Amino acid sequence: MDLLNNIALGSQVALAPSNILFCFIGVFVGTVIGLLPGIGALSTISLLLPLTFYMDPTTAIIMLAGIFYGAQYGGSTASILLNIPGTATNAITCLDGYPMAKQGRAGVALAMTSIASFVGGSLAIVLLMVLAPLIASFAYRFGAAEYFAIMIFGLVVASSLSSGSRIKALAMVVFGLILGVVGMDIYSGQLRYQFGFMELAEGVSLVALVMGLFGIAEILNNLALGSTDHPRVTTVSLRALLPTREDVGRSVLPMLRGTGIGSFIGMLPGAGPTIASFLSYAIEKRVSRTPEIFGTGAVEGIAAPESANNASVQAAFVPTLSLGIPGDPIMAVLLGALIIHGITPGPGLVLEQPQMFWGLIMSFWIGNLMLLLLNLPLIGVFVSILKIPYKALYVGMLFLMCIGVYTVRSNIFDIYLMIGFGVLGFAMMIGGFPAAPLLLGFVLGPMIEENLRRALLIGRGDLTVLIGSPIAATFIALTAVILVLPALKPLGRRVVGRRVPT
Amino acid sequence: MFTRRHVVAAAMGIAAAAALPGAANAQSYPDKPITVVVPFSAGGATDSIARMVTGKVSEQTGATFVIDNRPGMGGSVGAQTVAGANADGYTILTATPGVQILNPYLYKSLPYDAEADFQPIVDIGLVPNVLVVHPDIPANTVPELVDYLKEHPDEVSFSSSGVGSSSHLAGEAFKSLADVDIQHVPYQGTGAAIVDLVAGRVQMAIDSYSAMMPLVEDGSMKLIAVGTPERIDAQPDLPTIGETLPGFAASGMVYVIGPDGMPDEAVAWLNGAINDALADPAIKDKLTSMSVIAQGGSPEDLQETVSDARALWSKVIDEAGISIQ
Repeated sequence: MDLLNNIALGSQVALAPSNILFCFIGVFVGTVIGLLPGIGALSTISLLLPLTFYMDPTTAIIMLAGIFYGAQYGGSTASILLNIPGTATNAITCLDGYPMAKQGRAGVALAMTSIASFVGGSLAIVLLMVLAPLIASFAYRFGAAEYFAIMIFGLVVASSLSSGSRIKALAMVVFGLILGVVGMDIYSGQLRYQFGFMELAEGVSLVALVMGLFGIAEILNNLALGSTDHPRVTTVSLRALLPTREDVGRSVLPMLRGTGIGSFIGMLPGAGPTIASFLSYAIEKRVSRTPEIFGTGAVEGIAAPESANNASVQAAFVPTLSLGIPGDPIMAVLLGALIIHGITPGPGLVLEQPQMFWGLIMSFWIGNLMLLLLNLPLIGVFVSILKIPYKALYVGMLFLMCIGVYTVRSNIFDIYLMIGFGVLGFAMMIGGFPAAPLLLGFVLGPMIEENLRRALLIGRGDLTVLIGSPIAATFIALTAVILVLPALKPLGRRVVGRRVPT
Repeated sequence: MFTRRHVVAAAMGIAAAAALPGAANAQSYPDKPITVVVPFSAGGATDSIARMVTGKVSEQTGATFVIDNRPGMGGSVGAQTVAGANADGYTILTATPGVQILNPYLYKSLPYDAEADFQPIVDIGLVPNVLVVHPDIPANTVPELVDYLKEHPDEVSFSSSGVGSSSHLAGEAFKSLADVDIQHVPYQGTGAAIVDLVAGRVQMAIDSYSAMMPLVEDGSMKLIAVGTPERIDAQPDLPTIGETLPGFAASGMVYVIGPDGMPDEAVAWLNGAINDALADPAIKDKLTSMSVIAQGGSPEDLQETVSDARALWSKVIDEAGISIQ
């Protein structure tokens, strides 16, 4: 069978000693930069790129890919322990991870995120191997109208992301959509809402926004209110750090759903892990029988997004390599690495370079296993970070966040922007305005606009193109159902109520 | 500690080439690392070309280069950095058409003077654009395509890698020279347009040879013509668009410039060293594999090429009425 031959070929490549070594280097570096708030995989991969010119291309891509998915593992640690996301993708993990840490269950939360990342990554790889030949033709079905429908669906599903006031959450979604408009309009080249700052021509930096709203705001909150409500380490025994059977049991379905959603989003070039983790959290909250526990330390609320983001990162390699379409800036750099080595990503790559394609996929297995083995024993070490006095800790965090935000675009302006968003985020905390919906609007808004306008351009202004394909029509219909259902519910109850004899 | 040392070196922004020992050098220039500003992200085509060529120059001369990626605004951010840099010969720019040729006509204001602020150094290479169409379009030559488009006005769309990119302007030039009605659909980079091209939602493009060739080889798109002024060696039988539409020439280029007022010694040294690197067969092959046709030549040759391109593009941009704030 073809698949078995491919697996054998891939394993042979991935198990070569040098490839195992560089895979380990990749996932280790990835874990470390994921841990550090603000410093992300993109700047790390860009910096390491020149080194790979002297490597075998397969080894190079195995290492660079390892950094990318390794960062997904490390990123949740700071979210859980400090309420400061390691990367934008892990912002959603703050919602339930930090409350868990406050309840003294930091170790459990860290273990669950490692396990969830492993499950998400490993299952996505199986899907990839089985479906790789189909994914190419699958991806071609998604045009602008389909993207628009999926993103609108995502926005509506996820609008109930946070607990608390619905009006405030919706206001924040809208605020996020507005922030997403800032910068150059890709259709006309006009600059929008940049108020004379050329630094805003490329839009608001996602990393500056996330680090400001979550990181700086959290630090300000702690310092200003002299909060003594930090998570404490009460016990250090390994047993207390490990999840209970109940935790694991409650996480199984969320992890599977997260993997499914993550793999689907990953196959769509351009969607990315942040959307995958937000969407899976929102869907988990919707299907849960106890949505009210989300935001108070629900283990489902970390298992689903952490499996989704890792699944999406692994799945994203298929369209990137087999179609030559870079889904996000990180994938663009990875493609650049291949091009420098004279390898053209595209439909021919899987056939012409099977040792590279299958070697990389098999290296994902090895890398994910390494990450699990690397992260679980380190949980005790990570948790003991909480023993460091906050006064010492926040200085280091601020330092790292400034470096991280700067390295994304080599731009001092973004640091000021981060501080500005920090002050705003602190004010939002006081007013009870949640930051997660803002981030969601900011991430989805530009994609919705880009695809809506592209669909209409291609359709010469005909609105029916938006529901012209079965995929688009299905998602638009689902969105309509979600919007209409809550309005019908009280109506239905009233009808039922009238029937009851008095 | 192989990795740690290298991570630190990379983090300091030193290209790996810097690790090479400096050879004995009689000249006074260069006596310290030369910063090469790349006005695009690391990993992109321009970045790769800059690293490849400076790597070879290091190898041949022992000089040290530091690549500094300053992306943004179609190359204008990086160009501004170099225009305002100390003209001591230690800061140079890897330019693309955006910097001096297109942006001055596209943007109402630029943070630098595209002509007066720069000193030409050397032309690295020509990056051909090719005209491809979806197989559903029953045309195999430029005349057939023009006839088809005239019979089917406002039915065909062309993709570009963004407003003001060479692929956008090539499409606009085609539209105005052939007098046909086609719709421009911009994407964020050529890669993002591929799905819609292959699926036939957007039916034509005049975009980079290297990005389009995999689609042509696998039968997803038909190769119709090349956008260079003359036919290219890699495809001697492929006609140019200009053979049907006289005056059409739309391709990318990569070249090196520095801030105005650079010492002549530095210009001469860089021009000589980069010409030597381009003459190396390995570099030629690598550039060819990226669909870059190595050029070289004197600073005056480069000046002429840039002036000619400016004359052509100002006309196209004017006729198409394209403008960015």
